[in-house]
Amino acid sequence: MIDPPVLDVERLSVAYRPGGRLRPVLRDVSLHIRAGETYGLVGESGCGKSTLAMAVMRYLGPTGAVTGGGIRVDGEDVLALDRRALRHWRGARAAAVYQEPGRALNPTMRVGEQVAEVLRYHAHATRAEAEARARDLLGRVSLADPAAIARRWPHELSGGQQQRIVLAMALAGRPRLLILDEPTTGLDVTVEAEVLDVVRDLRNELAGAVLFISHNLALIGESCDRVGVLYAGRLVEEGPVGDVLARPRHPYTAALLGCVPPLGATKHGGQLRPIPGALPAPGSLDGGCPFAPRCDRAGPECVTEAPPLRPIDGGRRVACWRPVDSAPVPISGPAAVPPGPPAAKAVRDELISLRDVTVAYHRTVAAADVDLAIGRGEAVGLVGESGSGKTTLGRALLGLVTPTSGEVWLDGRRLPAALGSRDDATIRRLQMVFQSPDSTLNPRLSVRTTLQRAITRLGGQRTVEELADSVQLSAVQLDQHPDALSGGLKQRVAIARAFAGRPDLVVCDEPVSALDVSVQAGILQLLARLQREQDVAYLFISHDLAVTRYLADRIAVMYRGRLVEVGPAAAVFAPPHHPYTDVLLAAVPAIGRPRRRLPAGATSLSAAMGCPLADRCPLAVPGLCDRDAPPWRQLAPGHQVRCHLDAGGLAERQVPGVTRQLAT
Amino acid sequence: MTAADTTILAADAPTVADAVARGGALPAWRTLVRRPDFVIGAVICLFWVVDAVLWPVLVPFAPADVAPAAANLAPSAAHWLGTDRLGRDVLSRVLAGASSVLEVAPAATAIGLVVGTTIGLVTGYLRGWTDELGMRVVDAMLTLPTIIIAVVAVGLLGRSPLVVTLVIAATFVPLISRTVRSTVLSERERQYVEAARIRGEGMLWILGREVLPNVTGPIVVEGTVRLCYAIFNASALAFLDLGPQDPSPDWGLTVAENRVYIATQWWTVLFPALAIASLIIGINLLANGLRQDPTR
Repeated sequence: MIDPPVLDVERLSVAYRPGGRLRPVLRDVSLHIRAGETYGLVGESGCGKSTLAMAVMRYLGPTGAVTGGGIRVDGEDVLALDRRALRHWRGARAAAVYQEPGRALNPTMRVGEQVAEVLRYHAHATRAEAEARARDLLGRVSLADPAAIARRWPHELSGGQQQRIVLAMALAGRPRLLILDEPTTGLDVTVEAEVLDVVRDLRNELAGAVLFISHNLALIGESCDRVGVLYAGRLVEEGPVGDVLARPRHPYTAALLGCVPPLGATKHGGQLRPIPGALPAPGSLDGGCPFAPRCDRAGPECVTEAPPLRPIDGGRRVACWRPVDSAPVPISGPAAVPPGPPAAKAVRDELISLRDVTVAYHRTVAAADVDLAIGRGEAVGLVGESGSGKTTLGRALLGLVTPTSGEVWLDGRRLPAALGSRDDATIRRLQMVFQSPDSTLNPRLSVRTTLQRAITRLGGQRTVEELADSVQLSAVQLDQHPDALSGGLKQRVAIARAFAGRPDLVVCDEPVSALDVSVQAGILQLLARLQREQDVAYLFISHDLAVTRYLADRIAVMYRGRLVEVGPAAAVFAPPHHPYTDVLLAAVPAIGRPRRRLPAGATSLSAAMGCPLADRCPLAVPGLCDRDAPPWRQLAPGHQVRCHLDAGGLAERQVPGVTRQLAT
Repeated sequence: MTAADTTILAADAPTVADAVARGGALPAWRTLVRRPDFVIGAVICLFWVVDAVLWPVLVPFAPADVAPAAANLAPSAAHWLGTDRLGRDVLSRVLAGASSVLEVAPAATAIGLVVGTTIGLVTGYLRGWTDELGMRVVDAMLTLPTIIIAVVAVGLLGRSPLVVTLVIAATFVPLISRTVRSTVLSERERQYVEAARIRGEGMLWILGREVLPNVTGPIVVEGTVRLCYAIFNASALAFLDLGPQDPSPDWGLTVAENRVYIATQWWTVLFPALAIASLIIGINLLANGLRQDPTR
């Protein structure tokens, strides 16, 4: 290689000093990204990914400081730039895009002006020039009708559109280095695919370098050329992305790959393997390898001396005394839940059902005409994009929202719609696990108080200790307050609280989506075990198809407030299935598989008549799908889709090659 | 203090008050003790509180003793802060006057906090028509100036520390209930509140055990700010002759009685006024400390 790297990070160390004491968060990190290259940086939350990005952009706050090493962008020493120079450097030489695009945009300015402002500052363009070029940029980030979009306010745009505006702003100064810090986290998979396409096109156009930070290995595998794995502030492995993901050499990389359920894996197939232990606190573990306490391969040398990052074959580097040789096995061991009776059981032995339920908030219909039954001891997965009404359905079951019309039945009796009118016995039987571990527990109550109250209220027979033990919480944690617990432990407490009174149904609303993959695996194992031991039914709401497939016996797919498909999990994941399910599955990033693109559809909500998917559906029949509402069709016993095409028609048009291989 | 100010307080990021209320008291106190403004405020407040209780021992002269021979003396070695037109020692009257305002202001603040917090909790949690009704009543109360309420109350109920206390408390209720309501509105959306509802908890438990402990931070801050205004209002009512009467050494009353002589006997006005100011500044400094973000 003759060209100098665009980004050259050399032995970078960064420390934070909250309250006076220095805590190192990055240690001796060296990495280089060349022009035209996308470098993925992966690791659990708290490992220092974002700190690296902030150090490169010189955004470390007053409590953070570079304690060693250097950063060069195009040969220029970034750490030497003064305040004035930085203002021009940021945007013109390097730009960053973060999670939550809504917070990067000024809510009081039209988005076109925000892009134009960057051009006027960095390119000294006149107002008219800047506006014209801003519209051009909006077109290049694949926003249809740039002139109309430019006049919109940020709140009028979807998350995916907002992120593309932010990308346009980042690119307006034609930077050489583009940093993307979890740019698609929080966006739907279908939107994520579109945003990543834009990123790829723009990189080729700019011939610059991209630093892509993500916790999602599949996403890194899909979008990057090389990958670096960060653990406890150290780069532990680096190399071409395909090699690293297919044959990880560092035990941490292997462990990370092992705890993600591959699309198609199920609880009947085996156990997920969470990484034991937790990330060491910054500043602790000064000797030895930081991963040693959690590593099953650790030997005496691992504890005494930290392994250096040394080159191995194939342009790779690894920091390990005892590198892994074999390919990772993502799912192994005995089945978490033995294969159960056929799913038809669920229809016979109904526990709870929604019957023709419609929920409307003012004029917005969140869910319409939903019929869904959940059998005793059955896990029903509910998937769909954000805003499709999944959560609303779960809340309607529990009585947290009152349906506008329709009924909720439990054990063949109609339930009062509102929570306040339900009796204690019903309340005990229907419980919920929430999404956000940070707000699910009352911060002022100890774990013991929280669980004791739940036992008292829900008529539980077990002691607090027994309950805690059933979710693998230790006695020490019982007397702690939530702020002392990690996200995974908080979620365990929340699960224990829901199970205090032996519920019959637990609604799990995205219970693992806020957790790191290493912790997520443990929670999924726990939910699977509780289902087996207590014969509890789940409504498992998730946007993550692989996670849902792992846990669910049956899966229901929602689109814009309507159910479009219900069936046994395996059948839903394999064609023939609903065209929307096909689209969702194709959009999921997976290691070693290209993701299929969606046909770009106008995402207007105008489809009052006809099938709501008609404008995005690759199989839509003009003149039929956009006019008439599709009927429910039975593809197999217990497997229904709402579509104009019948089983034959769907099977003929759906590519079996892609999805069928996932389902096995 | 306007309604706008109170909402800023409510929206404040984590404060030391939160941390203290959360039970992590020790590190929070350490943060506080490091702040010079908090320490100075605490010393001033402590001085006046001790004085309010122990003034009979501290005063060099009896504050009500009239001595025509020693009238209108400028500050001197014998009378450090001088004497008034009846020959009463100004220092003794300033020291004795603290108890008058410190009887009324904390009680008024406490009553305002209890009633305002209750209204704020219930309206913020229930929302709907309860909220509408509660907030419209609060709006109506806000349109009435303190003075008008005081004049009417004193006219109807007569003049007593209790009436002054209740008048001040009544003017605080709408402000405090608004602050509390706004924090409850965001707190009730937290998932642990929904978890409690799904568990079948009643409103009393949810408000008392789940929500209230999580909004104590803003309430503590609001309380300290209100206390300043209570002192200010109590002194103002005394100044307008709606509070204690001569020969009470009340600061506001003393300022009012002597203000016509300010050109010749300035010490009779200045020192009680300074006493009011120092107490308010002291509480403000204390409140500033409590409002700090402990992580910074």
